[in-house]
Amino acid sequence: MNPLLLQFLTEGREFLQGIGEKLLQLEDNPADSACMDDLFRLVHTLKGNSGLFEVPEMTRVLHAAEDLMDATRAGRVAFSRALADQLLEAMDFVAVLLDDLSAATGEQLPSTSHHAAEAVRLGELLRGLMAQAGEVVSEQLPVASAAPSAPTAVADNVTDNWQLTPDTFIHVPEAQRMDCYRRLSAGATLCWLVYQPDEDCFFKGEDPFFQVIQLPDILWQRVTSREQWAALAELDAYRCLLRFELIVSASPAALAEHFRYVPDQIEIVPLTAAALLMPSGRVHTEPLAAEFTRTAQALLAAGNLTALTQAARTLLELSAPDLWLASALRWLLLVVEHTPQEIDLQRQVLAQIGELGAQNPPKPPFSKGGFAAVNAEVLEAAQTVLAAQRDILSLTDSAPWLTGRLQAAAASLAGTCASLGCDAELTALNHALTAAISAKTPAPLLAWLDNSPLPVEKGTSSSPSFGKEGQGGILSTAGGLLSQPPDLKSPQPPFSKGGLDAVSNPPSPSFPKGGLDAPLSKAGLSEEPAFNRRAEDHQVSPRTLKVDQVKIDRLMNLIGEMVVAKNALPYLAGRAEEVFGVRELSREIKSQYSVINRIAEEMQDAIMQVRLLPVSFIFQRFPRLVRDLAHKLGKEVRLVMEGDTTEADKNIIEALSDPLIHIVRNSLDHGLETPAVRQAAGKPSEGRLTIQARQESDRVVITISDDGRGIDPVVIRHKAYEKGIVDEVELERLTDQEAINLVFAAGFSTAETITDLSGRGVGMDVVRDAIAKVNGTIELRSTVGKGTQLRLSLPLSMAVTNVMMIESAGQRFGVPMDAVAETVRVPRRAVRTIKRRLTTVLRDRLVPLVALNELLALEVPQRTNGDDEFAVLVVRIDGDYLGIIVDECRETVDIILKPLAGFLGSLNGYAGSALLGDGSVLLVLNPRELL
Amino acid sequence: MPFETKKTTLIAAALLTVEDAELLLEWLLKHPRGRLDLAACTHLHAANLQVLMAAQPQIAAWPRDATLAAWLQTALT
Repeated sequence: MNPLLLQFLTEGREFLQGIGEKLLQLEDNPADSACMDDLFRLVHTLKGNSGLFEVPEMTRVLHAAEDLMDATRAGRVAFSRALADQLLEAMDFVAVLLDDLSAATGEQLPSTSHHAAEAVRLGELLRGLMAQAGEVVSEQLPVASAAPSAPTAVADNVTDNWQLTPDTFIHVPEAQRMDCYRRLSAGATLCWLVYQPDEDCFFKGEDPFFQVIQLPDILWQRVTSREQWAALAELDAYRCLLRFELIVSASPAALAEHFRYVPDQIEIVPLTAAALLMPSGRVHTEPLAAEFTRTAQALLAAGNLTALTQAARTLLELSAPDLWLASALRWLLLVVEHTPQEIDLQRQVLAQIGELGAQNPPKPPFSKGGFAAVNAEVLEAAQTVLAAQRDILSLTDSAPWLTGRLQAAAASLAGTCASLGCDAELTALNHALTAAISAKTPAPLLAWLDNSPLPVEKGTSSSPSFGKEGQGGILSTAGGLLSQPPDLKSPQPPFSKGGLDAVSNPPSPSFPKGGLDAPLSKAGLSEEPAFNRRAEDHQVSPRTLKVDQVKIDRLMNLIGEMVVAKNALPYLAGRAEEVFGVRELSREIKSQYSVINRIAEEMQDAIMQVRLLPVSFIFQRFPRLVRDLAHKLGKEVRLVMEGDTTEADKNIIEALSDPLIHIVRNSLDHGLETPAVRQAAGKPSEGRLTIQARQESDRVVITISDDGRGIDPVVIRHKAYEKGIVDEVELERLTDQEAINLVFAAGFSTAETITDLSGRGVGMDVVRDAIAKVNGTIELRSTVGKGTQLRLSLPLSMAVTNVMMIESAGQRFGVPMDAVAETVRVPRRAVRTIKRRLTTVLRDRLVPLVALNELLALEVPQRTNGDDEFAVLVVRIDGDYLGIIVDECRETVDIILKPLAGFLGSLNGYAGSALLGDGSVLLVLNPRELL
Repeated sequence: MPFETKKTTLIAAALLTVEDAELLLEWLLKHPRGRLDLAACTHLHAANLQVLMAAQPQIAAWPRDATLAAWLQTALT
């Protein structure tokens, strides 16, 4: 997996976490605009980052979320719980995707396409929230605090300085414009993009062509030069004179993002259907047009679109396809077919057609270059073909191959029709052919040819060339031929008054539909306030380093060895004095030792600091957890968290996470009551769950308390007896506190029904074990009706363990200091035997005694000192005291405890081993397991 | 060298970089009727595009890459 992706994954999770927190904060205080800005920034950055990888699903959802956030920030959508829910769900989805990505093994990113449907759903939901608020993405003000300048500039660029002029689409063929029109009316977003790179852009390392060629979904493209090319000999290849024009199926925002580094060199105009509507072609006065217009307008007024379509088709068949009129009719049909609701557009087209009938047609500027010429050529060719067919059909001989000849002629005719687009005639032609074959005479075909509106001499211009026959345009003008019923349509701008000029005018932005674009484009662009992301990136120059944990662990091990090596110095000093009798040297070694010792300790501390994590690392997920659970359970809960900056070793924090979640769930499920119950009990309906963390000397104490119903010892006793955890005798003997502690027994559950939250009988015992594993303890206090309190106490760090060294039967052992309560000398006569067990009274307390040699099955009696006193190590196990008789208690040392591994791993009674300064191995006992 | 020349045909490599534009221009100046084989070309820098547009040379083979071919065709015809 590449480092970029790794970083994205880690950062992504952090961002998600941040987003979740901000959302919850906002729920409490929706008016907090700083928080809102942060939230937006987080979502935005995450989206941006996700764009670096092939995870379109993630980007899509985040993009929707970003839009929604932006709308919320601008105050167009109110922040609500539903909105927060939706966003949280979206973030969960993103988290799933992140997990998928991080599960990837090879270099290849896993495909996330199976999430596509979900992504679309979430995206729609998010956008749906925006739509509900009334206006959609449209009017956005570039509120972005981060990068206001660039986006605005582009937005201005688009809306103010640049308009679609009549000439804009001159070079876009009608078929392509119609295609765009269809896409637009189907809801696609198309943009007109002009990109004029700087003259010196090549010197900045830009490749405008590459930039452009990377655009997806290009519907039409053109590249020209801004000025006449110089003669080749004088050409400066490195002075960029290119000008790209494109129609792209993408949102203005996406385009702005694509060209975000050259915002001043591009112009983006969102296309509207109306803007494309621009009939073109050879203009020819059309007497039928006026009549058609009248009929059509009447039909339109009556809303009879079917009849209108028919009428338009008929007229179209009568018109040569290269005529302006035909083009207008095709546009009319297109408009009627795809956007029947656009009555205005239809009217405009009609009005233009009407004027065509009335006056002398406009001379559209491009009529010569465009279809007209081509079609005229085609027409002539077609006429040749048709004449030839007529000659053939007129032959009067009755050759045996008459049928074949008829078929050949018919095929030629059909081909001609098809190439002229007069498919409508084909049926009639087929009928004629069938008739002709069955009658064995060409007459029906001739009749068809005469009646059909195919070419006559009346063509228009006749230009030569295009000599290929067979394709011809059979067209004609007024009287003649058919032409296919293509879709026509042709709304035109309202100012058709000029009639003719207007005809050639493409719609200009001033009319109804066009009116929309301006705001739209503005919106589209400013939606992306991030444009100069380059600048933004620098703001967050990281002050923290991300380091692989392995490296820290290595440091930790090294300092451990250092400590051990350092501990060897006092032995050396001792030897110098005792063995070699050099007292001076011994003293110097000792003073050096103290220096090294100080540095080593500081170093150890520093490394430990690195490993420290604030408990907020686990606390941070509680707000969401509590919110969701409370929601689900129909309870009202206020979560109070204190001391979340308290720090502890990473391992401890991580080990704590699951138990804490368990505990919080339990509190919510069993502890806190529903609002109704609480009110009946005279408590505020909102329950209170407090999670506190604080440091007490070298331990971290975490307290989780609620003000719920508490744990009833009676119920616990009962349940415990039912489940066979205690027998009757024990039942009697248990104090209330002991009874409550039974919830830690394996298999215990008080829940009546198993819910998905808790009640499966795994829980508190698992919690206790997990805490015990990291040398932690757990205490439970509860008062019926008042609430429950759990107190977890954990070591700050597990890396270095402070042990007390003891001696027994000539061997040295270690006992972790956190288990040691005290060490005392007990005279032999103070040891009593009660029921064959050794006990003694220590500070008015009865303490059972065990001999370590007995526990370790060493057949040696414990030694006493000169005064016949035993050395007793009093240890605390689960709150009970126990005296362990040893031969001798020695000093305490800091050691790096290594768990027993391999075959020794299964040995009970030992916490692990450590290396001592003199090179010997110290076995560290685990008193709890020893018993 | 990103080009190979065969008599009057220049065969372009997969990528024509910005520096190649100068070479391309030189070659076109020396061979005013030279033909270009772009079949292997997958991308050419915009500077090359300019040179081609200005020179309008004969194209012996269009790029096999459909997108690039479409662009060049719109630019050179």
